[in-house]
Amino acid sequence: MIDEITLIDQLQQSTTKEVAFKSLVSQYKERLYWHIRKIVISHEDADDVLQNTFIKVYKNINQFKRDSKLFSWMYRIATNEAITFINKKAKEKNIHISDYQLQITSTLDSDYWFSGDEIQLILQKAIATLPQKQQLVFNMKYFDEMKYEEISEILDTSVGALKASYHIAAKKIEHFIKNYN
Amino acid sequence: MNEKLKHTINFINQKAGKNCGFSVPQNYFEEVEERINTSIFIDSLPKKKAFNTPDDYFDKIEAQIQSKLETEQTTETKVISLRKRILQYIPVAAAASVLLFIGINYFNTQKITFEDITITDIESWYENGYGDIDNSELAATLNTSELDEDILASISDETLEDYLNSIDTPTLINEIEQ
Repeated sequence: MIDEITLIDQLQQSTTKEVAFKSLVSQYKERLYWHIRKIVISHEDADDVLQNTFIKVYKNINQFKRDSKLFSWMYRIATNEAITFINKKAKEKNIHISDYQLQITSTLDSDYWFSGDEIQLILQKAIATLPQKQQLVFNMKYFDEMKYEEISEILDTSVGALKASYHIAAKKIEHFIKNYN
Repeated sequence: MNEKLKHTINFINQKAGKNCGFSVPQNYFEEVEERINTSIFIDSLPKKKAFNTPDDYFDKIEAQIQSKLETEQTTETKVISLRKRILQYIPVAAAASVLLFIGINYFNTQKITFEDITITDIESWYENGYGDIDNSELAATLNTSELDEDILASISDETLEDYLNSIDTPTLINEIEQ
């Protein structure tokens, strides 16, 4: 695997860009996909957003200033793309984004690409009730097991605020699951 | 003595005559218990993947991204080339407009009169289709006062007869009614 600095150098030079981009997609496709999937929920939507994310990365790679890790920068693009996507979907349905998320998790049990058991389904429903930022923090910390420092770089929020956010999210999820009928 | 109080740091320090100088936020020890319980509960939840993808999804996605990228680049090139082409013509069009403006205002001082129009000009005007004008349009441009007696007198009886024979009866009736 090529180290990050070499990869960025290659991505920012027109002669090596194509090959380096293929390597980038190959390295990060799965991590970015799972991050997006947890936000947009359905596989088809995650597929759309993942493709758009990589296209944006390709087009904007020369604007990457190296003031964060390449992965953090891509994660940020993926997060923005995913949130923009669900916002657009909610607008199309003329409902608030939080209602849209509740709607998509309510039909999750009939989703062909969801094979979770009952508790996993309830957990997804609980996450959907959280405000957007808390959802992101919870997913990144709990499922992706990312460090607070990494999340801080991606979401541009202090580590202290992230810890508080995660704790509030965890408490709400606990409350939701314990009171779920 | 209360067992709980016996195990607090404050109690131990008090007994040992020590004061470390550190302090904690208010209600910290009450909240930390709750935090630990929440963490234990959350960690007991299943972390395994509940979401799936089609089997070969990650093998195929690279080719799909590549093809989407190529499509976008082609579209972008087309848009850019059209824009470039238009931009190329803008200075030419601007220069032509300036020349035309100067030409009209400074060099074209002579007023055109009917005498300046040659027969060839009129012929080419008709040939280019500008003379196609129907009867109602023609009638709208003329009024009866312009048809003076000289014009009417200049039409011979034969010409008038030929004209009347050449048009069909319903058209003639329509014209009379008008």
